[in-house]
This record gives sequence, structure tokens and C-alpha cells, in this order.
Amino acid sequence: MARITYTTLKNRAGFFDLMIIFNLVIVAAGMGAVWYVEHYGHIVTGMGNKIVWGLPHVFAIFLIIAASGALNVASISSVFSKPEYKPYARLSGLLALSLLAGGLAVLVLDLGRPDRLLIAMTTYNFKSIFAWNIYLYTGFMAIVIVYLWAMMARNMDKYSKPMGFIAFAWRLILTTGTGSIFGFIVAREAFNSAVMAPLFIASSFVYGLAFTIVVLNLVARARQRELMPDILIEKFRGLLITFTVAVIFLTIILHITNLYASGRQDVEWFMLASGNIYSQVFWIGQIAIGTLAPLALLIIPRKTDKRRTLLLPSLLLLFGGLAQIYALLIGGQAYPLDLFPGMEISSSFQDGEVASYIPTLPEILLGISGISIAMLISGIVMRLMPFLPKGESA
Amino acid sequence: MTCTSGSKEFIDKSRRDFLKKAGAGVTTFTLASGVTLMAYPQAQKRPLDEPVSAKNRWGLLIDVNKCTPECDACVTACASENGWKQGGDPRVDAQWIRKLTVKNPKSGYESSFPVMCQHCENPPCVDVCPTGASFKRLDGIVLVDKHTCIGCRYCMIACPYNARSFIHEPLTDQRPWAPRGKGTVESCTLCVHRVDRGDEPACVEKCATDGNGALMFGDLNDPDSEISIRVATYATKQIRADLGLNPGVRYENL
Amino acid sequence: MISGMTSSLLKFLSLAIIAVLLTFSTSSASCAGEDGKVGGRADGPVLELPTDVEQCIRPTEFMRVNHMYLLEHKRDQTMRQGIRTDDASLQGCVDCHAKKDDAGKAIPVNDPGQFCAACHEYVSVKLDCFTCHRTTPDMPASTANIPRIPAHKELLAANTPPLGMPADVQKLRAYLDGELK
Repeated sequence: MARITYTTLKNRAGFFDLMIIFNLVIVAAGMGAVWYVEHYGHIVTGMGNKIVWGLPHVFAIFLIIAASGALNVASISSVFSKPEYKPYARLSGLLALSLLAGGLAVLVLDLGRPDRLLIAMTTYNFKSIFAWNIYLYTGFMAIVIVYLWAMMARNMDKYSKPMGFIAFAWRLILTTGTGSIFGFIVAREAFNSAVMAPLFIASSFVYGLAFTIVVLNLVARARQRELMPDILIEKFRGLLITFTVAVIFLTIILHITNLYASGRQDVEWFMLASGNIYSQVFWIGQIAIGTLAPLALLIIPRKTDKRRTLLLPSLLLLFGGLAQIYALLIGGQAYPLDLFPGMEISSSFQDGEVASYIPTLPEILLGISGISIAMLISGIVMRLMPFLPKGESA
Repeated sequence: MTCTSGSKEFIDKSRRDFLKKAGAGVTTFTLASGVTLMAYPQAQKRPLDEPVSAKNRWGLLIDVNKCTPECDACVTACASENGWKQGGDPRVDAQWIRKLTVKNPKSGYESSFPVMCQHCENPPCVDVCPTGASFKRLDGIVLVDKHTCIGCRYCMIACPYNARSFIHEPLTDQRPWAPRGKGTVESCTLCVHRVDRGDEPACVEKCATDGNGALMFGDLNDPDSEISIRVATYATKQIRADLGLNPGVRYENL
Repeated sequence: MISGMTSSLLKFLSLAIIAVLLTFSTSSASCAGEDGKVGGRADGPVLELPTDVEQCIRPTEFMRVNHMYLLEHKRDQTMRQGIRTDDASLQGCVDCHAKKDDAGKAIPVNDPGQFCAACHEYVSVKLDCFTCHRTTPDMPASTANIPRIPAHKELLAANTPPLGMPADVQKLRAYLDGELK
């Protein structure tokens, strides 16, 4: 088997510089937004006492899920011993780290007291799945760094397989933990389900792979060189189809179980059939644009350039992922708590009312800056260190 | 029943019941203890240099029949005692206690009563707090330790009663016994600063003086306290009892 | 090739370590255990103390080093265990140490030059207390809750020092108690 050589990202055609500057501007704007919210309080955002987690959290959760999924390519090469994926393992690890960094940055910066991050990292209530998640995220970063070291250091390659196993297991536990943040909440009928964790795991496969494909396309564009051989494109296509079907299957299970459970018909009607913004985002954003369209593009053979066949479906899947989380997170909070089933309740604290959420500019900037942080880290590290495979491996 | 001093009414009823059961010899004793209970809701004030213990479990009993929709004495009392402003933007303003109006759409029957932090025995907000800032004191009062709160708002998602508020802007002019600040979460403290010195919460006191005497405060662990006797004698309910949280706030005639 | 790999690896690891360190160092400075002394400077913070009591509830040296311990320890006792002794309540400090302006209105203790801020500005340690805590006395209701500390000397004598009080402070205590000359 030919030896794989790696290279750094060589700057050609200025496209890379442009991307870096673009991302820097967005990150700067995001940090400005953070200062603004910190100074004036969360009153300047659209979040309130009813919708407590908004657009920043949509992006944060999206990036964190994508991060655990981005490690997939590396895992397939190490854990499932598929050598075709090996050249991309380093990049996959780097993407996992940078996406997680971006997601965590957004999450932490939206805290009411982000200056207390040290307290969050040293004081724990281990009954809280959120506390466990802090360890899972930081542990994931440490493990992936060691995994990358095992892959990159010349004489450490024999450790890459065990590290790959550890990383794979850890990332499954991490995504289970992230899904359980919602699944364990008994008070919110839209969240409370055992299917949350597997749903998040399946979603992570989709977002992570979609991100990897988008980055590979960007990098290939920057290098203007053929980076993805046909056989890999075929494999990625198959994986995307499989994972997307898994996500839609678990989503169907989630909603059907809720519909059968007595007392949950109201929340299901609210989320799916009421015609409100959340049901629109679900049907149009997640299902139509985010699932059916990319599936059609992936399954139906097309005459386009082989390299590009995955880019559009991946972008659509990523959009669908954002829509999925938006509908779930915001919709689940907007639905009023049912203190007295069968009764109509009202109060001066918006009891019984569907809460409305209108994101403001600071939130939007903060959310988007998460993606930019991830892209910045990936781009700069790729420029400095050999993460990209050189040409074809065969 | 028009506005009378609430405690006295409770005492009358329980005194009557007690007499029926115990006989004449108990009358003097009951009279004396009734007067005492009215002035000092706690049988024995805990010395302030002693830590709290699980000996007490503080609770509220709210008689829904006595509550009228126009009266919000409890809400006003809480707001002035603890320093939050009423009547602002419900989206972002704190509300530690609110009057909930419940209407049965089929029968048309409507009732109104206050809802605040239910001070559960198994509080979901305590379970989910990543730093342990949301905690339950040994005597059952659920509080937010704002020194440790990072403002993640996860407890607000977890609370089945929507009892918690987040402070969305910088604050000044706080009451000295109720520190509140931007970026942390807060909720009804059961007037812990008053409970610790032997008083009852502000809402209970105001309801007795200015309202309809619908609120009662006491020690649910003390079998001789008014609230325990009443809870044992009359049917009371907890909101969302199906969740198994065992709140310390109970409602009569719900 | 090998040295190239190692140097890239070193670069990567150092980047990673710097990134992690930066993340930690940007959280706000803690107030715990800050020594009021700043090396070498002759001038110190200018503090105006109330004139109607003999001394602070603890000796100045103790306060300089340990006031945060006092505040943190006592606050945890108050919050978690409901211990509300007269000693070391933050509102007690504010009640005593907030100055009045000419019109008789209290000046917030974290305003520039005021009690807490005078030292804290000098050593550049951010004050977090008054995000939540009241900065002026709330007369007369607050004194109804927390009795004004009448004589610090008796209070000082009555208090056992926490474990691990520095030796120099123990000496100071002994001096105050009249044991040392």
C-alpha cells in the first residue's frame, strides 16, 4: 500500500486569505455582540423568562453535535479498519476539535455570568447531566488531541487504533449526554424522551460528515486540486444517505411515540400541525429542504462534476440540522407548561400563552461566530501543520 | 366570608374540630396555643448560630376558595419585600409569585390563586444545576446561591412550574436581605430571611392583614403545627403531584 | 522528515497549550487571598474609616489578607446552613462603612474612592459583590434585620480564629488581647 504523505494547506489564489479575513470579521462581530449583551444584560436579546435558550444555543448544540460526528471519518479508519478513509483521519480529528471549540465558545459566552467559567469548571453537581457534559466535552478535546498525536507522530502509529476506539466510545457517550440534556427534562413534553440520545447520535453522523465534505470542498477549491477520489465520493454518498435515513427514522419514532402517549397530543399538534413557525421550520426546513431534497440529490444519479455532487446535499443537510434544532429547542420552550391538564390557565407571567421568540442581532452574530471560530481554527491549523493528504493514496 | 384575620379563622375551625375530638379539658390549652400560633408561626425559633436541620420542613397552605381574582396582596407584598418590580414586561421581568387564573372550559368555572416556587422535596431544578447553585436547604427551602450561579438557565427549563426568573439587566437598589443581580436566576425564597428570624413569609402576612387570609405558613414536620393539623384534616392537593416532586406548597379546594 | 514531523508536532502542541491557557486566563480575577501590599510602593490606598467605633471587627492586617476568606466562608454558612450571626454580614459592613454626602444621602461603597473601592482600585482586583448586593444602607429596615455591631472589641474577643490564621495575625490578636507587650 502506498505511503500516505501529508501537507499543509498551501495558499493559492488568495481564496484562503479571503476566508480567514471573512471569518475574523464575523468572530470580531460576535465578540462585540458578547460585550454588548454582557454590558446591558440579556434584555437586549430576544430570550426571556419563557424562551431561555435561543439562537446562540441552537448554533452551539448544532456545532457540538457536528463535532462529535466529524470524528467519524477518523473512527471508521481506525475502529472499523477501512484504509480508504485513513488519509482523512487527521483532518477529521482537527474538525472535531475546532467545531467543538466553536460550539462551546458560543455556549459559554451566552451564559448570564460567563466570568464564572472557572466556577463552572471546578464546582460540580454530579446529579446534573449538564455537569457531566462539561467533563465529556473537555475530555473529548484531550482525547482527540492525543489521538491526533498518535496519528501524526511517526512512531506512535500503533497507538492510533486504541486511541481511535477510545475516541469513538467517548464521542458516543458525549452525544448521548448532549441528547440527554433534553431527554431527561420531565417538565417539557417536547424534550422528554429516551429517543433523544439516539436521535442526537444519528444527527451527529449527518452533520459531522456534511461538515467534513464541505470543508474538503473548500480546501480542494483553495488548493485547486483533486482531493477526493471517486471511490471516496461513492462511500461518502452511501454514508450520508444511510445516516439521513436514520435521522428521519428516529424523528418519526419520537413523534409517533409522543402521539400514542396520552396527554402529549397537544404538544405534538403544536410542534407539527399547528402551522406556527415551529411546525413550518420543521416541515419546510428540516423535512423538505433538510432531508428530502438532499436525499433526492444523493440517490438520483446526476451528470454534474463528481467532486461537486456531495457539496449541495451537504449544505442542505446542514441547513436541515439547524432547522431541526431550532424547531425542537425553541418550539419545546415556547409550548406553555401544562399545570392543569384540560384547563385554560392565564396569569401575569405568560402562563398558558405560547411564548414568542424574535432573535435580535447580537444573538444572530454570536451564533454565526461559532461557525467562524471553528473554521478559523481549522484553517489556521491546516495552514501551519500537515493535516491534508497529498494527492491520492492508491 | 369577608376579610377577617386569616389565622383566626383557621384557629376557630381547627379549635372546633379539636374540641369535638378531645373534649373540654383541652379547650384552655388550645386557646392559648392558638394565640401563640398566630403571633409566632414557628413553635420554636432556631437560634441563628445553629445550622438548619431537617427537623423542620417549611410549607405553605393556600385555600383557593378564599382567594379572589381582584386581590393580589401576596404579589404586592412579595415585590416590596424582595425588591422586584411589578407590572413591567412579562417577557423579561422577574416574577417570584403570580396569580394564576384557571378556567374549566367545559363548565366555565374559574378560580384564581397564587403560584410561586413550590419548594419541592425532589426539586428538578436542583438536579439539573451544573454547579450546584440551585440547592435545597435541609429545612426544605429551595434557593439559588447566586455566588455560584453561572446563569445557564437550565433550571428554568427544568422547573415544571415556571417558577424561576432570570435577571436581564443591571440592578441597583436591592433590598439588603434579598441580593439580586444581572445574569443570575432567582425565585421565591419563602422569605428565608424572615423564616430564619421566626416570622412568616411576607405574602402570608399581607394576605392575613390586607387580603382574604388564604395563605398559611408552617412546619409540615411538626404534627402540632396549624398547617400539619389542617393538612391532615382537610383534603389538599399539590400542583402536578403526578411528577412525584412532593412540593411543600399545598392547595386546598383546588 | 522525522525532525520536520517533530517540529510540527511541537508547534501543534504548543498552540494547543496556549489556546487552553488563554481560555482559562480570561475569566475574571478572583478576589481570594489578595494581599493589599503592592511591592515597593510607598503610598497605599487611602481609606476613610468611621470614627465612632474603636476598631474594625477584625484587625486591619487580618482583613487585608483574609477578608475574602471571611466573606466566602460566612456567606456559605449563611446561604447553605442559615447561620445568621451578627458578625461578618456584608450588609453590616455596608451599613457602617458607607459614607454620607453633604445632603445626608448614602454614597455607594463601590463608588470610586469609597470604602471597598479604595483598596480594590489600588490593587486592581475586580469587585463582584455589588452586582447583587446592596451598596448603601437601607435604613431603618436593614438595621432591624441585622443589629448594628455595638462594640467590635467584644466581638473580636468572642470569636475563635479560623484554622490556619497566619502567625503574624495570631500575634496581633494576642497583642490586642493584652497577652503580648
